[in-house]
Amino acid sequence: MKKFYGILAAVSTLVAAMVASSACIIFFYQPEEPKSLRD
Amino acid sequence: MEKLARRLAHNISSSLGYDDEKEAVVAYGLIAIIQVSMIILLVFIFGILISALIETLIVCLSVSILRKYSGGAHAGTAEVCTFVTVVYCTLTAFISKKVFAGIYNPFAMAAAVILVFATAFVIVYKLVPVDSPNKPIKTEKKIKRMRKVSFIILVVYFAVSLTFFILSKDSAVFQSYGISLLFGISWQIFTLTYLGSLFIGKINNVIKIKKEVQR
Repeated sequence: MKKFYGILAAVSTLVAAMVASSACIIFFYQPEEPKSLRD
Repeated sequence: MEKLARRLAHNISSSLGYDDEKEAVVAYGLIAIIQVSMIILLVFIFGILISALIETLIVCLSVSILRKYSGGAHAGTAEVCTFVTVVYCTLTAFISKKVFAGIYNPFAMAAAVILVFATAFVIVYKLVPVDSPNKPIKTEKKIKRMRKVSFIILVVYFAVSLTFFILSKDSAVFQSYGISLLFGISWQIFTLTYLGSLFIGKINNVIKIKKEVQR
């Protein structure tokens, strides 16, 4: 389970970083952006 | 949808010993993955159901690619966002293929292309990027980059639109593809404006009131 969580955490962090460079999270809902991802 | 992502992120963080900030980043990524997967799956299903899969995907992708760099009005919850996106993509794809393609007129189409792109370029120049309180865009460098990329995307859309227009003389399928692309661009441009923001706000309020009544 820990290994699965590790992979999921890595993929999610990668996606979060990719989304951070855009103006919004692709569609019509924008959750609060974590401080560490802000400019 | 967001609750599910945050709960999963909490479990991951507890298991791997992450701090609050790392958990927030994982949750943010999970919300994006779940939301995008859900919308693409629903758009696929409804696109097949109305026999206009390509048209539905054209509307969905043209909105989302431009939206990534231009920003725009936002729904209050991920569920409202999914609902609005799927309904708009399905409905306009259906209208493009079953209604407008049947009464297609090249002169009317050329006028629509000119009107939509002229409006889109002006609005992108004046308003982009339209940020939100949950993701403010402050630096001048990022504002310029977002505007520049939005312009490039619009130029590519214009080239694709012209290609569809030329090909539509020989093949009828490109008529509905071209109309779908215009519907996608129009919606995204609309959400950049004050009117678009009011409209999305109204939808948020209606769904919020319905939920409160159900409780």
